[in-house]
Amino acid sequence: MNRTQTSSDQWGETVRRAQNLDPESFDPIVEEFAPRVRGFLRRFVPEREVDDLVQEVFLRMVRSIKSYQDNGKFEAWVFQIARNLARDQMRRNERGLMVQDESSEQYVAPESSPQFDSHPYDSDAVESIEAALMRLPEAEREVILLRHFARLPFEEIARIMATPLGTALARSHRGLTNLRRMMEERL
Amino acid sequence: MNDDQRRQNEIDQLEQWLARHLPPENVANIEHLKLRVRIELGENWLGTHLDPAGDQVDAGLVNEVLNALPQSERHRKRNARFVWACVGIGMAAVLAVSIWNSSVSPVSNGDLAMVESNDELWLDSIEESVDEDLEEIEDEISELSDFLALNNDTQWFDDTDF
Repeated sequence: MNRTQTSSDQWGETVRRAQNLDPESFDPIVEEFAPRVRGFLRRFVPEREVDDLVQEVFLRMVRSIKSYQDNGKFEAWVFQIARNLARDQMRRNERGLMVQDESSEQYVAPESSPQFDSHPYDSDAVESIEAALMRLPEAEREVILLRHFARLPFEEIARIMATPLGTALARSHRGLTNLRRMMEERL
Repeated sequence: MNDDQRRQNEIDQLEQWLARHLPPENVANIEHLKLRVRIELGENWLGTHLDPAGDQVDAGLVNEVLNALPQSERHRKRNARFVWACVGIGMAAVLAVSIWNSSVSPVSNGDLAMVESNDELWLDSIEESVDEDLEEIEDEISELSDFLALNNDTQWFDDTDF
């Protein structure tokens, strides 16, 4: 998978227009990033919370676009916002889970709700890989999904996650290997 | 090939395997999302221009722009409905007050006393006018009697004429 830092070339002009609050400049940004941000967020928060969180990512983007310094890392900037919001939401959900545990009520696990009817993927395999992804440690899942949906280089993922590059690579390798093993065990 | 390169190759292969199994995400409400972003942009712009602490305060410009916004047909219909609703509510309120006044408010003793006193005044005024009329008639009769007595001996007309 070839991931290069093409943000500057691809998004530079669009981002400059967005920084001047040109409304039309945000349309291609939403079209490109909404599915990718949604795909990333959906593996960390319950489905019922995903759409609100996706919207919040773009609202935060609008509010802070002027402070973005165009260094060719627009995708990393977008997914940093998404990651921060996801972590905040996960913390809120964990607090909610603790409150529910204290009141001895059964917690309803986040439902996986694939929207895969319109493409030729094997729905059983998709369901299995979704379940396997959710069984991975959060840090491994995060590296894998940032690679898959944000299409970021490992150097950038390491920076976002505040880890050494070697750690990011190791997490990715271990997570993917485990994912593959779980899928093979299923077969 | 060193360990890092071998690991990087394995990662590449595993990522390609994942990409074949993990479908792209659909966003059903993408147009709604674009609209929401535009609203946020507009609100940010408005907030910047209306912020009294900001450097770009230009309420005149903002009002000018707001006034220049085209009023949609929907807004016009909504405004018309609002006006008619106000008229309807006003008429209903007037009707309700009048019904309440006519049906609920009892006739007090004060009201009756006022009517009775007015009746007395009215009757008094009738009696006075009747008395004055009678006096005039009596005066006329008296004058006529005097006139007849004065001319008692004078034959003014012949009984045979009748």
